[in-house]
Amino acid sequence: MLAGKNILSLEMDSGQSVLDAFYRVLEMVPALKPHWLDHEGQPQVFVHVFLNGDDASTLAQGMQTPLHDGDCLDFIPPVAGG
Amino acid sequence: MDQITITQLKESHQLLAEFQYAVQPVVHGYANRTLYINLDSNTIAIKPVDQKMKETFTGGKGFCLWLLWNAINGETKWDDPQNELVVAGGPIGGITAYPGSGKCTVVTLSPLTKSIIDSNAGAYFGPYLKFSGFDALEVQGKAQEDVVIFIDGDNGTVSIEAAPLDEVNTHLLSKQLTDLYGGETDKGKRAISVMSAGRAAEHVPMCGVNVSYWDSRRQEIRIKQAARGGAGTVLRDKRIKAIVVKYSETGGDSNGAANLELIRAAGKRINKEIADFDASQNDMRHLGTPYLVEIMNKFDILPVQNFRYGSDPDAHKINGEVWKSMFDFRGPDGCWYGCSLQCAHAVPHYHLQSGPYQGEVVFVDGPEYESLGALGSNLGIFDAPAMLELCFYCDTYGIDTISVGNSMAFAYECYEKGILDKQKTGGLELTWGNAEAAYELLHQMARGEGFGVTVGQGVRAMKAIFAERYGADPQQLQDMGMEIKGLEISEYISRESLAQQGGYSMASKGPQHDEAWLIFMDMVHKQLPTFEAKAEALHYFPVWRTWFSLHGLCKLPWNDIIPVSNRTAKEPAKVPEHVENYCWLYEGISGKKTTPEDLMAQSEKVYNFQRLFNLRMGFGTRQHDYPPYRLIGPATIEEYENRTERYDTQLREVIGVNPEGKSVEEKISLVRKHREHQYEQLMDAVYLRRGWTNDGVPTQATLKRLGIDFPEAVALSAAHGG
Ligand code: SF4
Repeated sequence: MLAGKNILSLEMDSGQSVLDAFYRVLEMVPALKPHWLDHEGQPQVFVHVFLNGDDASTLAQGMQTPLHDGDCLDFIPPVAGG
Repeated sequence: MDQITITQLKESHQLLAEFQYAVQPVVHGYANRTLYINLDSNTIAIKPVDQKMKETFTGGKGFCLWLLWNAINGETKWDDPQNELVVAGGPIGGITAYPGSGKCTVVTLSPLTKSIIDSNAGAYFGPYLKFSGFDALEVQGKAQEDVVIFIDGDNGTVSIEAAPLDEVNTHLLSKQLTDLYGGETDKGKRAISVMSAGRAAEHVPMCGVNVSYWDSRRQEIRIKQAARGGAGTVLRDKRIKAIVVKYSETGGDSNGAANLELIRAAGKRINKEIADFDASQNDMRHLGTPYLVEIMNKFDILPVQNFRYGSDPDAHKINGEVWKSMFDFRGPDGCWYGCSLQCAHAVPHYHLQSGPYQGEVVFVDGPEYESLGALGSNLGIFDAPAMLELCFYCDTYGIDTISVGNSMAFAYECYEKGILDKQKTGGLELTWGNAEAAYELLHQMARGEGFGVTVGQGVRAMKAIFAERYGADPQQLQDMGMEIKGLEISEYISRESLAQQGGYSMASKGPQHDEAWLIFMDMVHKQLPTFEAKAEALHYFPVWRTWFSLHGLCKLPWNDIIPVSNRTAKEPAKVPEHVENYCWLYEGISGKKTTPEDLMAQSEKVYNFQRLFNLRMGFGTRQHDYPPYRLIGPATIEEYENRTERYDTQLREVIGVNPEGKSVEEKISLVRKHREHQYEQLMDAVYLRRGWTNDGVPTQATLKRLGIDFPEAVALSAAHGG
């Protein structure tokens, strides 16, 4: 949604994590950096990352969860409903 | 008909009653008086607000409920003259230093639910009413002819005027009355707020009220809606065309704050946050609530075809980005002064394709997410111009987009299932995606003729009509009719969120998301894993969300923007930094040291009082807190087969049954038994947490704890086992 892009394909090495993919997206779309990173370069608290529909923060390994071929990541703002 | 000039309009406004009063400054957020009007006798009077009323009911919705409680009894019907339309802002409402501070709440006995309804709107009515000298307005009785009520806070007069020539439909009437009472200057027009409905409110019970303000940058009338539950129908039943309030001298200190600096400190903090982060978060300033379409579709909770499905490949045709390219960004979009979140967008230059104004070019407020869900995905209409057409006519006729969208979707599904046919619909083909049929249904509601009037009665009424007239199966209609307590369900699929099922079904007024929106906490972020956690959320959030309507505040700046401090917050869903802001606001207004618990205490009293009020009207017990089965689980074969893997997995892993070799009907039945049992357990846990009996009645101990144990309340509780 941000920077005019909705969908990206990522080539990741085996064993790389959700967090690695997060930073890879920022390399590919640098315009997202001020939106997704805080001033220390950490992911902003309000960017929610979903791995195959599951909130990454609820997974056992969180953002360190390793990725597999065909995995789908979503980056979602803090949705509050109406 | 030739256009009526303002001079002709003025001459036609015969004065039926006039009342003069001294306008007093607002002190610590209160005008300390309410305005009472009776249209049977053309009486206009002032009532005092005492300390006890403030301590018990705070203001806003709390005042409305208390005034209505004293005006009617358990036997009163919505169209009795005794029923009232009550409107209030709230003590914090009217400040200009904090976003979202201009709401008003409208309360009445609902023609849809037959019980108490509350609905809130932005725009300027609430603050202007208070600055004109009144914490609330009660209108009782019925006029003998069409009238306009005019509250002139500049000159201290209230008048009831015959209004024979005024338009009824909002887009024309608001303009006429803004010109009539505001004159030709921008300053004059900005001083006017008009509350009105539209032609459909004369024929169907699902009409709300529109509240206007003048947008001087665009030279347009803007409107916001208190749409839910039929307040507009009550307005027209009383033969009121409009209630107009005028106040010219709004300033940063109009609200008589005890400590304006504290309010400014809270405002500075959130305004910086919005400036820094809105674009990175929900981008409300450019997308408004339509940003939700894409996300709800992604998570399979966007209502499609009468809530059968949760997503559709065409949803992108009506999502936020589509509207961003059409919205008018010529000026700010806050619906009250100082709202930096500015989500109240609009589309200019829309060419109407149908109805009495066909061919005219109009300015369309919105659309909001709820309208896109109700009139778009839920009807299978994925077409931006059609959304504008439907939203424009709903607004000007006074029709609630949620109620009418769900009602049409119910009728469309009945048509698909053969319960209805062309003969029964008067020739309309109610097939998914048919926008022209939807237009015609709206126009019929406004004309009071044809099948539109049947649809306009709402889903609950249609269930009874179709069973009785056409021999349809009442259980099938119950399962697929998306209403609870007679009110149509707002636009989120809650099948995979038990907490949201409870949020909708146990809400006091009926299934409106403003009381509890827990889907993401529950289903997506998985923060409510147990019945106890869900029950706690279904205690905290409905009570907390009620707080906004006590004070004339908009909820969106609470959690549609998230502060960085949420990273370390113990309970981030509550957004503690913003709750602290609200403590500062109340403390700044009242001068009293305020904690989050104080705010919750204000709200919990009113929340429980509303439940008691429902009880008094013959509702408010467990039997009224059940949803249609489709809200809980797959009600039909097509719904099950749309997500076979999900339900089969649940059968295997949660219910412990092997789905292999079972028919879909058998599997539906097994899933249903399990889910309905879960829902019963949830109700038990929620009632217990709220301090209610197992039948959903606030106990006498709860009433005592909250300080609302006055004799009639205690007697009601006792009579129902509390
Ligand atoms: S956030 Fe939006 S709806 Fe709320 S007051 Fe501001 S502009 Fe109005």
